[in-house]
Amino acid sequence: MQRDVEGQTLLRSYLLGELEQEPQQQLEQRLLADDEYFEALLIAEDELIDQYLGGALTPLEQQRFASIFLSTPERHGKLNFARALRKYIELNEPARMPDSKVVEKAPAFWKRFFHTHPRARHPALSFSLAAALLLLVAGITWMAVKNLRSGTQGGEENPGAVLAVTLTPGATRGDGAIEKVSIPARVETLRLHLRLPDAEYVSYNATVKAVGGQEILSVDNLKAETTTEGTVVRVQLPTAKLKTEDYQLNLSGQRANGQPEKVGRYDFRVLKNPQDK
Amino acid sequence: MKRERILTQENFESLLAWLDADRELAGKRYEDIRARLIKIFTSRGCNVPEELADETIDRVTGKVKELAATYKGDPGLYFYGVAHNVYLEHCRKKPTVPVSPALSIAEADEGEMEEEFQCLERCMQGLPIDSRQLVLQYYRDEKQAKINSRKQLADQLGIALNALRIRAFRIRATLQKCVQNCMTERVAG
Repeated sequence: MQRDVEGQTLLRSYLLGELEQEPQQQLEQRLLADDEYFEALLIAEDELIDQYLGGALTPLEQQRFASIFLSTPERHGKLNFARALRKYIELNEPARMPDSKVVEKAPAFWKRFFHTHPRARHPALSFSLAAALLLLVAGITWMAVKNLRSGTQGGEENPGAVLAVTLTPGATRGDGAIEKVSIPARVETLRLHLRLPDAEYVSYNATVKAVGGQEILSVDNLKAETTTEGTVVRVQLPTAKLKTEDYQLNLSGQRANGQPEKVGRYDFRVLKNPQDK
Repeated sequence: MKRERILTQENFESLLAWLDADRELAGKRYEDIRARLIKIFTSRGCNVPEELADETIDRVTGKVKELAATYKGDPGLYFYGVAHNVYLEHCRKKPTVPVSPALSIAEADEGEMEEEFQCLERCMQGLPIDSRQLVLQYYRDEKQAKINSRKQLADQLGIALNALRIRAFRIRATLQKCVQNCMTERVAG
């Protein structure tokens, strides 16, 4: 592992033109002779671009990135692709489920069922099973539509394209600026991950209102979740209810004895972008 | 540097034979060496890396009969020696001019970006579901959250972090190729 990290650091320095002549020549000779090493260089290129887009390069590295790394149209192409990929990930971020599996299980189950169940190989039985399945799907769909119409709180219905944003209590970021949330037009749901100072409450209540305006959402009985970002409460907002303005989210917690207490305030500014369809 | 390339079929066949006795493997090795030379010239800040790589190959090809009889060792390293000389000559003729940072980081045209995004959406849909999920999970988050999320993903898949890194890179490379093809089709169409 340590050798991997050292190798990655060396390749990164090479890409930024930071190596002295001798190590540079050794590295280049290895690139010509070693397939895996050449692939490692290509990976390092992608990672450097991602670090640049994520604002993880120092000012000096940024300068080297621009003047040395981006010297060919091919790398410009990689940069543009990385921008598109980044945008795609932001718009399609999967829900954070601590124990969720990466591979979807349901299709494999149905495939296995229809391919291996001895009765399912019989055509008449297969049609009957298919009809039963259709009825089941129709029933579930009807229930889902019914729930949607009844206005389920917290936005847990089918959220469409989701933009996930993590907010920290205390109103502003470290530089004193309010957290800005740019919402592209295609996004239907804003999912706020509210970082918690601790998880001492049984449940939480969130209210959202425009600064100086009316309340637009109130959600009860939210639960804290442990994620890679720490302990958070998740709140979903339909973006149709949001305009370009400043919002305030107040989070309160309920103790086991039913006593509510204020947990924190999360301020954010919504920037809706109608051009980004 | 741009000049007529003198490459005879006979010399080229000799080059392939020198690279590997199996013609198919020799062809692959040739392409690999060319791609790596381009990458090296690019990393040295040359703005015509393909031209320099071809110049290097031409020079080696011109000597290949002699090399086949006398040179011992990895052919790639011989190419490297020649490439270094080509580079030095290129620098003497045309010093490398750094690209202006402001110019180089300028975003692509908005319409083009949108087209690229649409192509990416299409290509993502063409990926197997597990590859798509892997991309979504691997490239999300920033800083420590990204590190944690990748560790979690590697654990879920039961593979080492470096193996996950390589897997994600290969899917990304496939996607990028798909997007490039899609963009080319749009321009042509």
